Amino acid sequence: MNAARVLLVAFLASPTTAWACAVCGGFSDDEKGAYIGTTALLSFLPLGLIFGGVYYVYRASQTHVTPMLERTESSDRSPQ
Amino acid sequence: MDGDGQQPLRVDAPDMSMEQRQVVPNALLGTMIFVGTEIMFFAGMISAFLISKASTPGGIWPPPGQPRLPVEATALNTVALLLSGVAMVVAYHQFKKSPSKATAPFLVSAVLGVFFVVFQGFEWVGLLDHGLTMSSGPFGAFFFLIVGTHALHAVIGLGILAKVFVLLRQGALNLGGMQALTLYWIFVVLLWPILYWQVYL
Amino acid sequence: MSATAHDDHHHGPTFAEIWLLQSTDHKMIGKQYMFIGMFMGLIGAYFAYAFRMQLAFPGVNVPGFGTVSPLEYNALVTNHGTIMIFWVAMPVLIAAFGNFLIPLMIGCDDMVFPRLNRLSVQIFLASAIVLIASFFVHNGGFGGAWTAYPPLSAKAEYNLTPLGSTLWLLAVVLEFAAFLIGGINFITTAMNARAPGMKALDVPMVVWMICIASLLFMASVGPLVAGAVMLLFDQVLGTGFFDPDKGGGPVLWQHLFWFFGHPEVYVVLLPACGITAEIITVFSRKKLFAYKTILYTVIGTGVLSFFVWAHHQFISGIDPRMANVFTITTVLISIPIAEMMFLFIATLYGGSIRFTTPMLWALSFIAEFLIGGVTGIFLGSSGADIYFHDTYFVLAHFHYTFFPIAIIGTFAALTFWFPKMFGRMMNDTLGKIHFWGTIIPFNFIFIPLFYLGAAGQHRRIYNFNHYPQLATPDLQALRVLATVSLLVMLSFQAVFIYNMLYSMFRGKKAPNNPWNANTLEWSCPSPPPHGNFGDELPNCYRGPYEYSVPGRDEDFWPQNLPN
Repeated sequence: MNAARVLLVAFLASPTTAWACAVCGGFSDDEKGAYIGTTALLSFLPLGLIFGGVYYVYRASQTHVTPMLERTESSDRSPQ
Repeated sequence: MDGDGQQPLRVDAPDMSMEQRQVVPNALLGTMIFVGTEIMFFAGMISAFLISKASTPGGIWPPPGQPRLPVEATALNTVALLLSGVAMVVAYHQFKKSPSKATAPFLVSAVLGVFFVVFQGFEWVGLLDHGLTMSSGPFGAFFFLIVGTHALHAVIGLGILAKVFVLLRQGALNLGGMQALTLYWIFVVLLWPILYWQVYL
Repeated sequence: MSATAHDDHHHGPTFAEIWLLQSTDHKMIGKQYMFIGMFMGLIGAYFAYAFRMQLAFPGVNVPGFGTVSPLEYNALVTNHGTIMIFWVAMPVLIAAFGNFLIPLMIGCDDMVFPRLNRLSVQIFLASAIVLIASFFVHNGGFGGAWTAYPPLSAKAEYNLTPLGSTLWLLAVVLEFAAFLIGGINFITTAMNARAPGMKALDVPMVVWMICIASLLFMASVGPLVAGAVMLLFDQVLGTGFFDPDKGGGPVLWQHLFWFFGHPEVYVVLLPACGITAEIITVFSRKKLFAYKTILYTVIGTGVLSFFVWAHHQFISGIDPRMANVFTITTVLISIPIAEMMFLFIATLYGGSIRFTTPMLWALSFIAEFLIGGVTGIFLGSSGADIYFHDTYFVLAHFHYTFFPIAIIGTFAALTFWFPKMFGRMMNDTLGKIHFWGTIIPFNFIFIPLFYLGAAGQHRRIYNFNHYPQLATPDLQALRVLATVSLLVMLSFQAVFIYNMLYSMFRGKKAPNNPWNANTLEWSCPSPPPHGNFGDELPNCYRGPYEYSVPGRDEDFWPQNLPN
């Protein structure tokens, strides 16, 4: 709990307008918001997709079992 | 699609503990991963679009002096594509009962899909006549990039639809292949309202 | 699969299967990927040789290349980076060993989509040809750095390579298409074609890692492909997606590029870690320490890898609030990776270690990669990065990660699985000479570069004599040391090439299981025939790392033996 408080204070006290380079910081608030928003979108979307897919496969493995008597699609492979 | 050679469902398989099993059919699993990649592809383009929109000088979007997009006509087209998706879901459920029953909804889905693509083609010709091109500024560039990429996916989807339809008529279509097609087509259909909302509205 | 289906496959591979990439056999495709990747690696090494000579001896007539012009220098560094990441690390580590190992290790006869697999290697070869072609067009190859930041990459009047930059971009997009197809294949195969009895936690670690890496690749590549298409339109159609004059934003490209660019590091790292895990267990004769925990650290790395990418943009003018978050996540991701390294070291503890060539490579992977990881912490902190950004410190840091991944990982895997791939043993003495001749010069190349970077030496500079502060004799001496070490390292690669070619054709015949290892690929003949396991595909009865089990006569217990 204490660590969480320290982290929170550290985050709130951290600089919000300290730009690293002299020519940076020319962004409008809209643009800054768009960058933050799309950063969040791009970062969380793949995790949602992956975990959604894994959950679907897990559920499928629990409900219907499809045993295979033959292995992979060998009949599909034409002789060369 | 390559490699959808699953065996028919077997419920009487002996000694399942030592049986190799496909939890999700190969074709469906492969398509799931592919569709995930495609979603990220479109997420990248939409992100770029949102950032460009937010960085327009003065915050006015669409930029003045550009042709307006046909919002109402495209709304009608959106409904057509959504109905195509519904027809595909119906076709999938019919297919599970009996493959021969899937033909009618499958055709409806394909016809509506063709309607969507052709309608959009006419829309594009009109916009090009009004001077909206890829090099006329970020508005036109993003419009043709995003909508064009979706249209490309729809056209490819229709090609797959045609190929799978032949398989269906021949009775050579298995459940995994049908699932994969349905998933891809639903992706194309459900993506469109999001693009419509972002680009047109 | 029945035996009859294979009766017409008992001849060797035909000319078309080997040279025209017409084979659908996963082992052949894996080898094709490996040889194309190694060939590209030689080109990348040649480029490094040429520009390192220019840096150490500015203006010198480089033997075998000639004088390096500024334009050529840019093209050399750009394509060195591009080739080493996209045409060496990925094809060899993921595609080559993924293709070769996954079906063998999970006990099936081939990939589930063999024809897509063939398509993948064909597209990959096409991408390599397009890239090589770009070196020979007007004004040579693309020179805007492998990150291809616009406006330099978008406008021909800036980069001076109108055709080279477009071909470069096309090659990269083709290469991604090849890996997309390959990755779908890997994950689907590992999910659906496992040997009967092989549960998720019986799968060898390297298969897990390649699959998770493929998943990361596929979840992250989309935005970059979108950005690449936009950049292509900027170059060819004159759109202005990244052009401030036309209402675009150059930082937007960085946004899309690094979303892929950083997970890509983990995409190539994970297979190398998996290879290390396989090798150290076999040569410690011990069970892999904490299999499940390693798996969780891999998943944790994968999750966090999507939250670190903006640390490449600390000085691009991103919001400082975002920089704070990404500093924290960047430092956080060192925890699962460090944990994985500790678990590898714990696997070694108390084992009866055999210092064979692959084991030396695996151990050096842990040691060298730790240096790369530790120096990354400085760069991940946004404050320190303001100074270090784009210096040779960064360059030395990521070479300390990518060299262990791409080069050490490849040599470890190749020396370990060589008997299975080619049916013959490699010469261990020559292997050890090559190992020490590579590892020692490697450290002498890049440790000086850390110093140079800390002294303020900037990356991508053609001639440091133009900068009085950087042209001092002591700094120049370090540059010469790095270049001379590179020459030593490159010359030792001849030992490897000789050893590999000699062993391929004249080496001692390899038994099925030369290392007394457990995993399923060692239960089939060396090299495996078409269809891998013959008529009877194996069953799997236990986990892959049952070494030195008490009460057994032998110190290994193959997965396919019932008891």
